[in-house]
Amino acid sequence: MSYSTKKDAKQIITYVVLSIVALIILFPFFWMISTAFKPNTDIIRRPPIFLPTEPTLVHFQRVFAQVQYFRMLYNSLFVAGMTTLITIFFSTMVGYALAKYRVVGLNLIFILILSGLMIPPFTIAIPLYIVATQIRLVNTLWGVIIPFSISNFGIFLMRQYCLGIPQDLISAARIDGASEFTILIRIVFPVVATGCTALGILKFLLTWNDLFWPLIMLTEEANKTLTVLLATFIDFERFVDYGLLMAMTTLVVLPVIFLFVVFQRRIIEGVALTGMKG
Amino acid sequence: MEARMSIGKKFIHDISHPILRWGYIFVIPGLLSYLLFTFYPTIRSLIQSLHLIRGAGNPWVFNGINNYLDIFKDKIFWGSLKNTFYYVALTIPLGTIISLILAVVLNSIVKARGFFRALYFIPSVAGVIAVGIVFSWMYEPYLGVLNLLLSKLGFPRLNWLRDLKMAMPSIAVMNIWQTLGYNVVIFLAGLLAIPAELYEAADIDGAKPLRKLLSITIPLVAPSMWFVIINNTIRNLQVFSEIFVMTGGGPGHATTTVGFRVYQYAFLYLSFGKASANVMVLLLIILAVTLMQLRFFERRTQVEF
Repeated sequence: MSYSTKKDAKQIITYVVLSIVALIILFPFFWMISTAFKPNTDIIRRPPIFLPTEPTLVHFQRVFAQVQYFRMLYNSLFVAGMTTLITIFFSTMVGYALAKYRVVGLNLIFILILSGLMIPPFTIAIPLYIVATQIRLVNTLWGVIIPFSISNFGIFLMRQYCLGIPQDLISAARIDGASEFTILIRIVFPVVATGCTALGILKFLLTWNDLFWPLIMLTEEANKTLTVLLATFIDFERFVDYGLLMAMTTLVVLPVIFLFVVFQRRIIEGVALTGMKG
Repeated sequence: MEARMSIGKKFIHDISHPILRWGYIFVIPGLLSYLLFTFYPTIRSLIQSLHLIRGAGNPWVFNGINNYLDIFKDKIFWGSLKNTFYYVALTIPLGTIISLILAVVLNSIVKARGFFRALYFIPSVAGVIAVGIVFSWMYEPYLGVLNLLLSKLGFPRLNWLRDLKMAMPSIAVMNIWQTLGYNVVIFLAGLLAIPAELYEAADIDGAKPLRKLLSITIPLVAPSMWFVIINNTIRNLQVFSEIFVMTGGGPGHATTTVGFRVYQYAFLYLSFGKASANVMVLLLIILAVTLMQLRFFERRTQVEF
């Protein structure tokens, strides 16, 4: 075999291996969608079959009849969207202050915020839940949003971005008489826009998929987010209605997969850069 | 003008300076959020762990270290500690090795690299709850697709999540599957940063592929590897959602982890004091891992620079 054919063969094997891994990665999603479209006679068939004999929308119709899907979609969008917007705005503002104002005390605050990165969410959730019950924030969407909307990690990340803003740009604006707030809005935000998008998308995904905090905070039907809705359908004692559950899971997963496909490049860049902590 | 130009060069102590005051104003939300949502709850967790608290709205009764003594006497607590470390031991080494190999393979191709990387990443965005429900369905002993595959390949069927010994490994498999794409992204970023000249020089010296892997790739990708290992270890020590969705801590207490125990104490037994004692144990373990991480990075920087 000549050198180039050997190399070609190696390349082909590499792509075959990568494709097999891709199939393994994607199979559960295929299985989820396939089950969602199967009539119950197909779902309980032994041995299982891969594609529905007669695809049906009956499970999806049952989802829309049994739960307020759009209400919960709205709740999820509201919680994740608001958390994201607040995170972006305040993380950038605080990060900018920590990066560019060399005044006494800010270093200490930066060290405090860094130390906060080590505290696991569990430590925070239980006391805050007790406080939330006392001030009647349980079962409100804002109760879910507020505690985790300004993340120590977001501040840390945006400080790193803001360190890269050329000092001349800020000084020039000051000489032109721009106020500090104008500089923040008109100069800082546009310059660190890449960082804002990376942080924003990651925070959105993490909040969308979060379970523990919304699960304990939202117990009333009308307030639930999509993940909490899914969690209420879990039952280890009785037989699970998998057709319904797979249709529902499909409806919960599709919005984030759509988001991922649209922002794929940005999301992966953001993860490579930040390690996806939110 | 003088004062303005000096900003950024040295510390200014005059807090009333009109421009510098804004530094303090901008930082207020960060400080408030830190005090209210990090510092205060952490201290309060410690105080709660020393009290008997039956239900969220009820008065606290001081209980000394009895919450700790009680959980230390509890077999399920030691079981949950063991299960948590078992889960970490099952997921971290295997998950790291598989994703490192995949990243090295991806690094060796040029066409469609981004495509595969994006495909592998999809499980990471789908969320643990959705993915956990789908895996529970695939693990179903009678109708599940995995037992079909096993029997077609001539293996005996398994009870997966309902088996005392298999339950934890089954959850671990899902975790490895789900975090693969995330690890690959981090590793690939590390691999792409290795200068091509190093490999060219090794080629000139006639180095074999394995030699290049051990002498160039592994040492240079080590920082990414440490990041992945520490980051995933800290996350998996807190495992909750996977357990909540797939087994509810069972069968028996075979998959009850410390994180799940916190939830059980607080929201099933309404014993917030003991929940907080569990939280403090978890916090200590995580702080220990973080300190190991800091020490490692200190040592590394001393060696490198």
